[in-house]
Amino acid sequence: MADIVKELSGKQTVLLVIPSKKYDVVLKQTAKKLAAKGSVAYVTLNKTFEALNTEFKKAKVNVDNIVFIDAISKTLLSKPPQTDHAYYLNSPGALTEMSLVISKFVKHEFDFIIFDSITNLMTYQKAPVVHKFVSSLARKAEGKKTKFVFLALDLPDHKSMVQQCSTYVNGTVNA
Amino acid sequence: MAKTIMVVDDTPDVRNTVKAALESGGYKVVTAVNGDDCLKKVNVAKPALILMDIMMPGTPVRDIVPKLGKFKVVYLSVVRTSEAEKEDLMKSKNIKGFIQKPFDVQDLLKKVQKLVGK
Repeated sequence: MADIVKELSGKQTVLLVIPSKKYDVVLKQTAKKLAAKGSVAYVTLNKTFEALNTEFKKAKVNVDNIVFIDAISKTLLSKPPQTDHAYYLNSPGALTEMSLVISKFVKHEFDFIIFDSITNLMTYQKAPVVHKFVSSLARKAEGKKTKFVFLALDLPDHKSMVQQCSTYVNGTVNA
Repeated sequence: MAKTIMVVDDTPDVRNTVKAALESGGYKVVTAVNGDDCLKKVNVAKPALILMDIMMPGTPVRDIVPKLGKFKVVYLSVVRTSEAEKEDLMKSKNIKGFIQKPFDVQDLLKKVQKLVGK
């Protein structure tokens, strides 16, 4: 498995392309390694804060160093749990809100932002919108302390999307 | 007479795949593109079961389900939740199941057969 800390050395933005079967393992390993190094904002588009927090704790990820930007719970649940460790977005399709919230974490000099994932974003938005969004997020990291890790699944249908997004980042890594 | 199943999903590929699988199992299938569309069609279609994606644009599914009254619903979910959240989502009496995506189409067919018969 690729060493994400090493891959981020000298880079601000990395696209991590993950085979479906390894997705769960790789995302936990990535979160574990980065949360051990510094503060992490974790953008989730397909798992609730509570589900992720539980899974990460089981995997011994230092969740005290993570704030989750949860785009799921507010739509799905009547009362998402109130906690300092989760910021709830109105929906996974609310890109302007998502962008503004991510900017705040960059401004507060979080060490890492994990975006999980470009593949999930494709469920809610068309490819050109996703490309534009990823490009704008990658630009936010330029000259800043915060490093971005974009996750994407290695799926046949999404090859061109991954290729396009790889042009916006400093490096692409196959997990 | 063939029983009617309503497939509610905003993703055309999912709607079409599930529709084809259910039709091959002998069911009549009606589709809807989101919860609001489902509410418009449900009283005419009178489905024996509704297979509903849990995250769709428009009115949130949690607000749609109470309006479906007696109609049986099974959630299809790409979203992963905790067990406690899943229990909360299944609180309504008409929710009969929770199927995690991606799912095996044959397993889905078996589940439908178990819930409504052939």
